[in-house]
Amino acid sequence: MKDITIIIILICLLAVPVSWADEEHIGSIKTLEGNGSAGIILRDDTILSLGPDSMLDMKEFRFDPHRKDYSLVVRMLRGTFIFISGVIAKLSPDSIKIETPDGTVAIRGTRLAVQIQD
Amino acid sequence: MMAQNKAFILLLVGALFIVGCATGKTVVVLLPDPDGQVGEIEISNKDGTSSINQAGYAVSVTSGNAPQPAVKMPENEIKSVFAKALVAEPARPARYILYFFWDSIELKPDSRLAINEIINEIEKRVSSDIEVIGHTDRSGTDEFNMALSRRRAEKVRDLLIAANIAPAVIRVAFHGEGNPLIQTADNVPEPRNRRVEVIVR
Repeated sequence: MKDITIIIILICLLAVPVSWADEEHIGSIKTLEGNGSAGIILRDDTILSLGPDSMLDMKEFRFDPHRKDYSLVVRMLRGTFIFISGVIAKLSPDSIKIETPDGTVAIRGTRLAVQIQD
Repeated sequence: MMAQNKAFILLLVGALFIVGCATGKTVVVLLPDPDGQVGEIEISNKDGTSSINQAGYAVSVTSGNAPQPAVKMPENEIKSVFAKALVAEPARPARYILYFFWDSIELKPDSRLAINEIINEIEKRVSSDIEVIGHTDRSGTDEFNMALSRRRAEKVRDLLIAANIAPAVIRVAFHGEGNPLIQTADNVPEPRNRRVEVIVR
């Protein structure tokens, strides 16, 4: 059954539009079922935490105050998340995009929680 | 028999694919910031948009349908659904400013003591991301100040390394006179700009 779950995740990933695969991709984080969790602090002080059985793709992160170049794009794929915006949200809120399988979240300097149910 | 099994598995995978990918639901909840402020969020997909501007309110959205209007989510439900993510939330980065004597990489006495506080914080957090940024005031030339800000940052880095902080977790940057805390005209001495900022994440 566990193998099938993994297959479903892979198929879901394959089913995403091709353009996503073309974009620069920084990395993925996956937490274990049960007691798995993770906490992340980005260089602009954005804080992200993941509950158990959660999966997140970091798609873009650029924080260069000298060039005024900012971008933060995360895709939450499954599980539970807490997001606290950092400096990018203050300097350039439109550069932040939180994507979920069902819609996109735009933020104005804030803390939010996201739950993605299968 | 083999073929039948395969067909069955394919069917099962297909069915689960539909369940797994098509009938999911996302719930987005607005929470108060650590300092108590409440921001605003907007949830959109190709079918519509819904926004939240009150803490503890949530928007549900399924793909293929417009996001629902925001509704209050009971506090105990927020706490139970997000229990482990809330526990895993890292502390906000700790920031320190260390001051230096004029034209020098010698720390002011108070700042020399603050180094110990920084080391304690690094150890407490088991931090693997420490940023050390050097600055100067605007007396002297740009080039001289760039070099001085670098030496100041390196001085602080060396003090951390001397306290057994791993060099690999320390990133050094220096901005010369280009990023003053207190704005002044050029060539004006300003003690509050002769500093190194340390951020512990």
